Amino acid sequence: MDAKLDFEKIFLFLVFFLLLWLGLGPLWDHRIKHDFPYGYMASDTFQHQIRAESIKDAGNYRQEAFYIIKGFHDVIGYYPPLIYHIGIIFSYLAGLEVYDGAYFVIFLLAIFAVLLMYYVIKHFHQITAILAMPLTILIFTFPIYIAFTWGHWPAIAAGLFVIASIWAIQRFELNKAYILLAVFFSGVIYTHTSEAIFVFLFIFVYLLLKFVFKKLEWTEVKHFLFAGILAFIISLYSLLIFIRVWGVAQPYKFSSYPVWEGTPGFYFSNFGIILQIIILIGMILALFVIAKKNINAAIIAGFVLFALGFTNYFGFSFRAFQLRFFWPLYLAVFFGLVFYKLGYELSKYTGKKLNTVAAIIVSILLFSAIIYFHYKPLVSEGLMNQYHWNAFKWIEANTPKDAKIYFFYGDIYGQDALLRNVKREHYLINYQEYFESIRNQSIRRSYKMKIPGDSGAGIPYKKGAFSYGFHSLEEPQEFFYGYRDICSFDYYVFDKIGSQQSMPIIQFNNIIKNIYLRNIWMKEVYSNEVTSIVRNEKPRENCLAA
Amino acid sequence: MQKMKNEGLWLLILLVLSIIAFKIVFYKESFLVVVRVTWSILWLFVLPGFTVMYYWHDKLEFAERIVAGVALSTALVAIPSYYLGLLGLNIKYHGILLPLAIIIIGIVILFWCKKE
Repeated sequence: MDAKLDFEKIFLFLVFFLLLWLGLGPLWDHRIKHDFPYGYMASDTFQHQIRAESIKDAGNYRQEAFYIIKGFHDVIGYYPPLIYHIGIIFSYLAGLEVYDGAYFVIFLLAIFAVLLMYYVIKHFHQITAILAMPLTILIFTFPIYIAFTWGHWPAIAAGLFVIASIWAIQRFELNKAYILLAVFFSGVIYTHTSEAIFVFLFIFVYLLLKFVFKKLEWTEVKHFLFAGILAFIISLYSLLIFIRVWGVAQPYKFSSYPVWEGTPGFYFSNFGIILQIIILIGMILALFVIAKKNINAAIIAGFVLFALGFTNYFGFSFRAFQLRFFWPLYLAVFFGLVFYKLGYELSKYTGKKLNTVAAIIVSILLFSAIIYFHYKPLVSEGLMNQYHWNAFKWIEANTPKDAKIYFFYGDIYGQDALLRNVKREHYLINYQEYFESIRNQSIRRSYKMKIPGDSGAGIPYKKGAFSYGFHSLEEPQEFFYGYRDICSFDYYVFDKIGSQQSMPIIQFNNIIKNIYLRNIWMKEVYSNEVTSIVRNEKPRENCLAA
Repeated sequence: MQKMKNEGLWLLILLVLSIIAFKIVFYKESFLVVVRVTWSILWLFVLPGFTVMYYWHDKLEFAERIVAGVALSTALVAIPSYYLGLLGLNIKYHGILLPLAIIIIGIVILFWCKKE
């Protein structure tokens, strides 16, 4: 091993260390094990955590757990399974809870995506690759960071396979390298199927350019065909579910989607004016490279995936925003190119060539500058806390499997996927109705409620070998969001504290709880500083009469 | 064979360095937890892909095989894991069985190709 290679390795290891520190260190309070889901900031994050948890409990992903899909017991496992399986397996091996292990894996895959991007760019030019790395740090800055904390885990993990696919295409000169592309492309399908369309479009543009510049060889086309056939075979079942379930429940509709409602999307302007200018200059330099008939996948991917990030205006809706999470990686080649060109021009005057060591030093300086201007550590335990978690785990351990749990108002319950951690059929009072009740100072037996759960894929169940029915289409809306008798549940969860604004609501919780406890068949069975659980031994008896 | 030995040594060095790095990042965590997590990463995410990638060892450098091997390991473990689960093998066994199977298959392919 020569000294040059060693410096490169040391640099890559430092990048790994830096990303691990910035990405996970502060968010996880510099601990790996936590007593409850830590750093979970939104409902979707819990959605992935609890699905992984349910697969671990079942030992497989044949079916969705009933508490995830509104109480139905026959729903097939319909979500792309890769992140759950790898997260669970890692949790077992590392001795971690699933909520730590599965989350950790997402960060790990993102960090390796950065390192793999280095090799993608290195295939074009090594010094450019070293100088490109600092831009990648932006995946751990706002607003991209919410991809991790708000649960866009499949999109992040798929990003690794997108980059791996680009990497494999660059290595097509290797014997049987099409197998690698097939595996990585399948990885995209099993992680976040919609990303496969982006990879497909990239390949299309790449081949088209090669054709235009008369650089396309039949062998290469053959390899793409082999890879496609192999990936199709590997992903057949997953594609079947995607087409027959997701395709039916969420049929494609063309729409222009300028803003990602409810989520702070990443826009080109989020790079800041200086980085924007650098990237744009890099793009111009890259065009000169293409003009010289150098069709490198690193550059083509940079342009194509940048352009596809704007397809939210042309029919790809929020999927285009999800692609943008990895813009700092895809566009890094342009960033590196600018500094390489600068170094190259400078070397004409100094007479000294920009070598690996000098590039590493410049790269470290660029890292420092970007961290200084863009990075702010996020330190927060997230939505969950020890008290709620203990209450949820108490329900899981101490109530019958078919118990029905009713949640009154709680500050965190709006992010309702976290409620699935009780692992029981659960219901949440309709807040609007509840607030109205508080205003009128009246308590009724019947309130609107919702059955929280994942219905994005229509709650599919198997009807035949290749046909599926959809509970969400077959059941009336009242079933999911209608009125229910608040005396008809087995357990009730009341929050005892809340934010200052929600204190009147919490007090109303307490009034109802005290009315319940006047009945001899209703008892407080669990209580801590934050939450109280009341058991109803006679569901459907008039619980408000006493 | 000498290259294999050298790279085995590099992997060991990498493991030790990673343990140190993880202990620095997660300085509030116990040493044993850090060691187990780091070893699990090596076993699950590095070794299976790295072994399969050895097929191209004369064209791909050591570090590149490790990095690309992580993506390969993830896909090669997780996709079969999904189907093994559907076939009835509980996922709790997959963490030992699948990486082991991939490593063995990788070695078999390597020696088979060498013979050819």
